[in-house]
Amino acid sequence: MNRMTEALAIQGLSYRRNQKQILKDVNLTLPTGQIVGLLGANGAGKTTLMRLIAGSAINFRGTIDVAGVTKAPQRKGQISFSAQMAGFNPNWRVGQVADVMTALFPDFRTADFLQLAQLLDLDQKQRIKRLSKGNQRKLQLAVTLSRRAALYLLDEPFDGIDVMTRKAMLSSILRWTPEQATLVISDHHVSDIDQLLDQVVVIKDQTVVAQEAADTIRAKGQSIEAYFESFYGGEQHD
Amino acid sequence: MTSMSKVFWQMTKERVRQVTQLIEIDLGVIAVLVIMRLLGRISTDDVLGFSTLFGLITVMVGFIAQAQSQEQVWVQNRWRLVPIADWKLYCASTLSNLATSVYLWAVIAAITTVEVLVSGNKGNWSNTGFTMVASVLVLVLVMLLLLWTLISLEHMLITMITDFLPGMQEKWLRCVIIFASILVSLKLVDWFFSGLGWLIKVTGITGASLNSSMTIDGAGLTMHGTVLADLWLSTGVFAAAVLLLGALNCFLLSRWVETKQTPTAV
Repeated sequence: MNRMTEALAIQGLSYRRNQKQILKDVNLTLPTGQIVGLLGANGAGKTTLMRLIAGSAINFRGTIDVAGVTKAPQRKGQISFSAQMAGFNPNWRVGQVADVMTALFPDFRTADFLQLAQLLDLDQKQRIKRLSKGNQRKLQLAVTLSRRAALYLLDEPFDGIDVMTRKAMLSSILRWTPEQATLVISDHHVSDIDQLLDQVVVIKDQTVVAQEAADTIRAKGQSIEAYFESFYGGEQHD
Repeated sequence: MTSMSKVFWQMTKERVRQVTQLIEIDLGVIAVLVIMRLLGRISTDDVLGFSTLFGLITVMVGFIAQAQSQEQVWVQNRWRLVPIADWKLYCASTLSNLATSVYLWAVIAAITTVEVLVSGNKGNWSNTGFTMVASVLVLVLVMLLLLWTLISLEHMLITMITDFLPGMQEKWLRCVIIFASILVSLKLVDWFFSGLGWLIKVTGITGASLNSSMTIDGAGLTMHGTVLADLWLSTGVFAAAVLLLGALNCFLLSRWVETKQTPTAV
C-alpha cells in the first residue's frame, strides 16, 4: 500500500505493564479518510492501543507510524486524542479551555471550537467541574475535533451518556472530521457507533484478530454487532 | 510542533496564578496584623515578626505547590501529549518553576521592605554588599532547582518501578518500594557529591577556602577570605548536580514515565 494513503501503520507492537502482557504482536494499517470502529470487550486493550498510538504509553516494542511519522514528538502533532484534556483544571471555564489549547497546540482552531461548542450546546462560562458527565464528553469531543490532525482517537466517547447527547455527538463527528483524516472510535457498545463506520477492527486475546470493511460485513447481511459478537462466541462482553 | 517558549509561558501563567493566590492570603494575614496593631493588641515588632514568619511560610507553601505542579506535568496527558520533545518539556517546567519562584520571592521581599520602611525600622544592610546578597540568592535558587530535580527523580523512579513490578494492591509493598527508591536516589546523590569532592581535592580548587569566614555583627554581614569564591563554587557544584540529575530525569521521562489513566473526562 502507498504510505501516503496510510493514516496509521503499526508493526509488531507488543506492550507489557506490571509484568502482564496487554498487547502482543499487533499489526494494523488504516487508510486515510476512514471512520474506524475499534471493538473489543472490556479489558481487551482498546484504550491501551490508543494510548500507545497517542504517546501516553511509551514503553513498547514495535513501530507506530502516523501519517509517515514515527518519532513520538512529531507523531503527537499528527494525533488528536480524546483523553488529551486529562489534567485540566476543573475550575476553568469552557472558554478558557480553548485559550489553553490554542496556546499549546498550533493546529487548534478556536473558531471551530466555538462553533462546535455552540452546536453541542455548551455554555462557554460554565466551569468544567459543574458540567454534567454528558457535557464533559461533549467538551472532550469539541476539543478533539477542533484540532487539524491526521488521526483522531475517540476512546469510548459515548460512555454513560443519554440518547439525545449521543445523537448530537454523532452528527458532530460526521460533520467535523476532516475528509482526509482518519477517525478511530473505540467502544464495546457496538450499536452506538455501527452506522458511522467504514471499517471495523476487532481486538481479542491481546491482539488484532480481524479488520474488515463495514460495507463487506453489511453486504453479507450481517450487522456490525453480530460480526463483533461472533468473535466472542456468546461471551459476556459488557 | 509546539515551541518550548509557548509551553514555558503557559506553565508560568498557571503557576504564577497559583502563587498569587498564596500572596493574597499573605496580604490578608498582614492586614489582620495591622488592624490588631492599630487596636493596640500587638506591638510593631510583633507585626514585623509575624508577617516575616508568614512570608516564609508562603514561600515554603509556594515551593511545595510548584513541586506538585511539576510532578503533575510528567503524568498528565494535557502536558505529555503536547507535540514537544520530552527534554524540552522538562526544561520548560523547570524554568517555569524558577521564574515563578523569583516572582514569589520578589513580591514577598517587596512586601517585607515596605513593612520595614513603614514601621520606621531602617534595618542594617549597609555592609552586606550587593554581590554577597546576589550570590546567596543564586545559590538558594540553584538549591531549589536541585530539590525539585530530586523530587522528580524520586517520582519517576517510583513510577517506573511500580509500572514494572506485578500489580500491587498492598500498601505496605508500595511503601517498601518508595523507601527503597528514596535510598537509591540518596545513594546516587551521595556518589555524585563524593565524586565531586574527590575532584575538587585532586585539583586543589579550594585551597584558599580554609581561610574564609563570615561574620554577622552590628555592622552587618562581613566577608573574610574567600567566602564569595566558596559560595560560587557551591553554586557550581549544585548546578552540575542539577544538570546531571536533570539529564537522568529526561531519560526516565522519555523511556519509562507514562501518563495516568483517568476514569473521568478531564
